[in-house]
Amino acid sequence: MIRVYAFVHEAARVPEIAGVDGAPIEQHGRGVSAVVSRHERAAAGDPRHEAVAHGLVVEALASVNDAVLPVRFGETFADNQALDAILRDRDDEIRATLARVCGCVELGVRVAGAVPQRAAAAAESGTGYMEARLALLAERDTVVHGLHDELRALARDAVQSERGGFEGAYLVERPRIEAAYEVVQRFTAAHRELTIVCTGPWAPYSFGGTRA
Amino acid sequence: MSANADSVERLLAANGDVESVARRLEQIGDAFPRRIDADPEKVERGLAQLVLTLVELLRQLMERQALRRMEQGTLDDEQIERLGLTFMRLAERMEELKVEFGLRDSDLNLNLGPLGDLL
Amino acid sequence: MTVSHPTPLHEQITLLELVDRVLNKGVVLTGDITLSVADVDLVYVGLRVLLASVATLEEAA
Repeated sequence: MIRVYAFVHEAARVPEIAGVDGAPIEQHGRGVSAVVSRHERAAAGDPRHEAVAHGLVVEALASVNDAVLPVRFGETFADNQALDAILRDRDDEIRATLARVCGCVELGVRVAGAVPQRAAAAAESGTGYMEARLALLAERDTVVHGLHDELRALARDAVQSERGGFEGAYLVERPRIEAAYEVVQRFTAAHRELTIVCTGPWAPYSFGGTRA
Repeated sequence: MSANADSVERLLAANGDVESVARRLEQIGDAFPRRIDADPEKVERGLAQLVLTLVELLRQLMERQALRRMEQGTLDDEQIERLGLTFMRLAERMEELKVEFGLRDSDLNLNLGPLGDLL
Repeated sequence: MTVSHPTPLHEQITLLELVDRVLNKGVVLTGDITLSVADVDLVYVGLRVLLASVATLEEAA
């Protein structure tokens, strides 16, 4: 069984880090290649540990290479032929994506969905309550969109979604990452009523181009 | 985020009758013994903390969903009024329960239990 | 739900973000994930912390 962690260029550096189940990682393929580990059998341990191990390999790769395309956890192949087939079929696409993310890292921003429970709770009617809450939500939206717009302007690409809260991912060229942090810090300082969580730099998980 | 975040929202939407969900949530507080136990080691307080955190999460999700529908104009005036009263009542009930169990807002955060033991 | 030793909040968040990324993002190849994590969405539940107030995060930091 072959596990795939990420795609890289042939000349990529492979760091000294073990993969899932402590298996060594290696590069497979010419031109565009996959970083893999090989296993006799399915892992018997805690899937959460495996997911973390997978992520640590991806991050280690991104720390020593300019272009890394993370693969989702759990992708496995029975043998080299199966893997080679994928590498052949998707060669153009992977190349193009590697070029798009080259030199960039991913910055993640989440803003909590909750709006603080303030005096709105003391409204005189159900409608009054909803209007007050909606006003607070709209205020929050304005700030969040402002933050997103500023970060997007600094980034090569950006994706966003709203699920329980705002979630944004920004593909930022390495030299601009400090400027991006400053934007987030400025917004955080100016809006103590919001919970803003900024993480990164990450390998570009959100910019792989292909979605399930 | 992930599929399950969507599932919760779909579940809430499918339940359609936000009020009945809210009523059930209000009743959750009744399931706990009435004595106030300030000892953080006690199981009841831990359980209350967990349940109330989840209730608070659901309440916020439901309310936000309703607010988005209100924003989009897909709720009529009567619905807005009814939902507003429901959420107000639920918010008040949450406050009462927090006081009863001696919990502050900061207590109502799930410690990141499921992954805590990975570190 | 037990935690043997509480870890600094920022470490927990980083870990959750990492797990969220490898589980839900990244290139999909076969669409056939060999291992699935438990039904309970650990990341979603864990990220509940984001619904906390800013003061709480500061307190914990």
